[in-house]
Amino acid sequence: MKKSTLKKLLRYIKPHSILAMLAIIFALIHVAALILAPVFIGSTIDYIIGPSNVNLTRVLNYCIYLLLAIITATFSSYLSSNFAARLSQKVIFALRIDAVKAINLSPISKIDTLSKGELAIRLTSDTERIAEGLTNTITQIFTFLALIIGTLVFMFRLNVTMALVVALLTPISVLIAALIAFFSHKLLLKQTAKEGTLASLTEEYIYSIKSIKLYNYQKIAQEKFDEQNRKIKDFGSKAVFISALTNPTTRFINGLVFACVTMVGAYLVLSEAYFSIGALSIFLAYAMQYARPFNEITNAMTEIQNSIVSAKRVFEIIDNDNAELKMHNTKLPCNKLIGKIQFKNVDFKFTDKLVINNFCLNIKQGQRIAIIGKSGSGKTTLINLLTKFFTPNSGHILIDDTNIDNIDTAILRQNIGLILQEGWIFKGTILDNIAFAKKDANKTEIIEASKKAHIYDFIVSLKDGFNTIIDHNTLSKGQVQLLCLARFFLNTPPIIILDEATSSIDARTDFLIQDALKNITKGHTSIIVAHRLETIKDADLIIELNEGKIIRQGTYAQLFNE
Amino acid sequence: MITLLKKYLAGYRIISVIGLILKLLEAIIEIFIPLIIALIIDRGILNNDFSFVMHMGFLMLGLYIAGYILAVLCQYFAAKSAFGFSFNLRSSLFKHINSLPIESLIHFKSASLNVRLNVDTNNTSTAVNRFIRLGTRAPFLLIGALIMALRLHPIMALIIFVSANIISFIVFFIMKKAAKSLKEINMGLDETANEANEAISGARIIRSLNRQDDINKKFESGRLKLKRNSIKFLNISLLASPLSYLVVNLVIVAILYFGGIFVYDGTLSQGEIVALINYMLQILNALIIIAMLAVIFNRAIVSSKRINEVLNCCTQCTTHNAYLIDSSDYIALKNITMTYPNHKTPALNNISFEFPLGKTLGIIGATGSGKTTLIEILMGFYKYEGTINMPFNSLDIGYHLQKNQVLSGTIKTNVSFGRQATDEQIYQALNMAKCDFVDDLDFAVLPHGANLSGGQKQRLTLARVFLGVILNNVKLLILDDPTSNLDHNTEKLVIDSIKNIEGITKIIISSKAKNIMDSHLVLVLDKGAIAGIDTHENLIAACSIYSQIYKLSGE
Repeated sequence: MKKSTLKKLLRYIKPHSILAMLAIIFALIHVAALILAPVFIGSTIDYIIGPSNVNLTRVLNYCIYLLLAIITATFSSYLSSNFAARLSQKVIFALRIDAVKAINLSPISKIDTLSKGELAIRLTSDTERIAEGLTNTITQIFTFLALIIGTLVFMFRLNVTMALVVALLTPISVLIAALIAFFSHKLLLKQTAKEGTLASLTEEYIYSIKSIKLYNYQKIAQEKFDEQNRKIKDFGSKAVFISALTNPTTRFINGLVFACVTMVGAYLVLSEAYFSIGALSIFLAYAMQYARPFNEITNAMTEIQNSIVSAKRVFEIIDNDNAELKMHNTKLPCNKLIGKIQFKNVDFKFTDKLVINNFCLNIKQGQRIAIIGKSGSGKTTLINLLTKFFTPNSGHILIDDTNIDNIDTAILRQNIGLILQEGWIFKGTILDNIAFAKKDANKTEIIEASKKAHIYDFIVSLKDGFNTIIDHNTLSKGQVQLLCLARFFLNTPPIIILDEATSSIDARTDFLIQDALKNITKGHTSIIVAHRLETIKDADLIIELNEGKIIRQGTYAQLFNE
Repeated sequence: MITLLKKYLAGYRIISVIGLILKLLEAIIEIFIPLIIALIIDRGILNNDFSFVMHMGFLMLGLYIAGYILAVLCQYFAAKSAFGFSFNLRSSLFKHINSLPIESLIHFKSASLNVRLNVDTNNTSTAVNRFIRLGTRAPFLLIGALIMALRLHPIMALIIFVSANIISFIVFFIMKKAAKSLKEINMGLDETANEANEAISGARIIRSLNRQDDINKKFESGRLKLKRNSIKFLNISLLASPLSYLVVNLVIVAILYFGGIFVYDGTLSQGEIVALINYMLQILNALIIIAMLAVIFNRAIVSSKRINEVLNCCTQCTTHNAYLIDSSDYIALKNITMTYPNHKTPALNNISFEFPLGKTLGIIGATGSGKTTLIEILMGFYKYEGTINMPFNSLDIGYHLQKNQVLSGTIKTNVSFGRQATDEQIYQALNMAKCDFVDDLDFAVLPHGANLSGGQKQRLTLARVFLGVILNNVKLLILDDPTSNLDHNTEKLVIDSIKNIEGITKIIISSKAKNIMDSHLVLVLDKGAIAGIDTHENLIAACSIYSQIYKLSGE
């Protein structure tokens, strides 16, 4: 599984392989310069021995070498991290776009199972983590590996004893750091879990604050809050303390290495002629430089692991095995449907339960059909089947005598006007929200539509009128439904489906809207799902569903005045 | 930040100070290490004195151990103080939020209050933690290294001092630039989440209008902006580390070159050059820490401002508008007008009526006609113009909200809601609200009642109100559309339960005339004004809006 995630990620990196190559090349140049710099420092010090015993020309030469190394290191490190960061941003940009494209292509049944909060996290913090992981992999992992190997090679070439001291002692600090990280990670997880609990508790309490005030519930709420709050304190202080041990501990062990290097180095300088003070200073620098990649590689590794987990989560959205099929128009001579609908022995199973059971129905062009029935009787499922959101397990649905499988999905939907109980608006102006139904709508049309939907008065009562930015939090359920109706009035196709479209609107406004609806839908085929009997009084045919089957049908008079 | 510290660090002040002192001691130890190395080179190696080398070596080891113990203790005290502080702060903030009037709560928005309670408090606590751990150490290391360098060689120290300033200037300049784009990036991320969620919730409508490509394009152009902002941010922020590296190493070159000259002159020794280089590296480390601290403090200061905004809000005001409470036997509203912020027209316009206690008042009207606003003004949730005579205080009122507020817990905790009641009384309340779905009082209810249907939640919250009636606490019953989520039969049964409650004043909002037509008085609202207030029979004859509503809901 991990491998395939990496492979998928590589596919996204491939178009930018030049950037990746450049980043790696500059990273390696950076390492080379980093390794050379202490060597030049050491050599310079060796020419500075004492009063009147300084080879100034040599010192100047080495200072110039050092300068070149430093400048190379500076530029190559900036270029490498910059290229890597650019690459990562390009990759996550593509990931995000593909995720939303995938959502717009994936079957409704899959979309119904997606959690909004989850999706938000996957497209924000998960993708950001992927970017970090990628940048780190490219710049750090190579750099650190090269740094460790390069430093080792140089140290062993300089002096084997000293090299052994540094090489063997340093990893101890890494080991201990990893051990601390292991324990603190567990505690940190507990702490974040508790923080999550507290956050959802406060969210709930603040949402219900009116009730809390009404019943003087504050004291109990405070107790429950403090109970979680205290747990955060207990776990948090432990977790933070233990993870805070990493820094002093590695510093301590590096200090020990430092002391050992100094003593062994001093001993070597005193006993062996070929080990100089300059060499000692090189080792001191190496001891520091050698420890750093070890510490940071462990960090980078966890980051990379996290980013692979994140990538997996993002690919879950992008990967679409059964993207909604786009069937092509084979038989229809024009793009306009007339609106004759037939259901022929349609079965539909939802998680092994038969929700539509051998359903048959003929709807003539221009007929008004009302569907009633208990919740869960299959009313909305029928609509999902007709709009090709769901595919029947058996049987056929025909529009204008053509099987809907053979009608291009886009053309089919162009011909169906759909208003649902859960009205949908997006964050944007009221104008844009209404115009969503018709790209080239002008302002007069939009005003007209909003008047028909009886939302005009409300819109102009707002300070910014039609330019007010709205979202689901700023409008009531009824107002959202009215806006969706306005959208519908702007663009009315031949087939109309109203699924509890006015359930949150008061009876009187509903009555006025129904009137407008009747006018505008004259001659259109309409299917109406409604609880309010008043709305379906003059339907040509009312069918009552139960467990996916028609149990009664007839006109209003036939069904209710028996 | 400081006012918060004064108040909420109580009980942890001593250990925070101890933590600070311990860290200072560790820093002092740290500063002596390069000096010892210089001694080892100059006195030990150059004088061929190996026993001196060993002595100094062990001194180094001893200092490291002592430093380690001090550091560990400090980390412990820092973690304790920081989490103690955030516990106190969060607890008081939550308490204060619970005491705020509804109006201020709406002003702050619940999502934002949540962030303040959870994220902002964490930011301040991190700052406390880091300050104890690094607040003394980093500046001390910085100054200490400078003084030591000064002691070794004043001219060298000057070079180091100037370069340290250059580095801090670079780092702060970059940080300031980066912070600006960071804000834009965060906004871009919020937009990403929002637009992706819109694509899910609108999937059916987007498809039925065939606008998938437009949604994709809109998303793409937004993300393109985010990508550009991110790259802009990275272009700047990635400069910090290479530039600091450059400056530090330029200084090292300078130390080596001029050091060579000074050693030649005899004013500096070889070991001292090594020590100076070490001090330079120490200064760089300290500067990196200070830059990090600056980021954390910056965030904490912003957070503490946001926390203080809530804490300082309405410390004096009471929950309720001070309406006239007298012992008269009627509720009276006189010239009540109320306008919501961001609206041009008032939600309620010059409402006046009187209503005798002990009777039932029905309120009816279209969506947005001001029914709920009128009730919430009676409850004292909003400021208004005009006068109200209200002989009850909030504890005498049993109020059923339009939006069902169900908390995680059990059926029992949701009905009793902190009041003392026997199981029998709770069952009685559930029975009145026709909660036929309840078998077990201890049935676990998820947050927001996620495992209950809309109708079940509505009946459960009604049972909560009815319990007040059973416990005899309620003198005024206010029900805001209590049956909107119920089917016809259950609705009838619940309305009967409400009718059977006797001897108290009732105010009932409904969108259906049949639910309130038996009331002693029916108040008809239209666009925030009274369209009629009378008995059902009189309104049918005189009020066209009412007769229309009645006709439409008649079955």
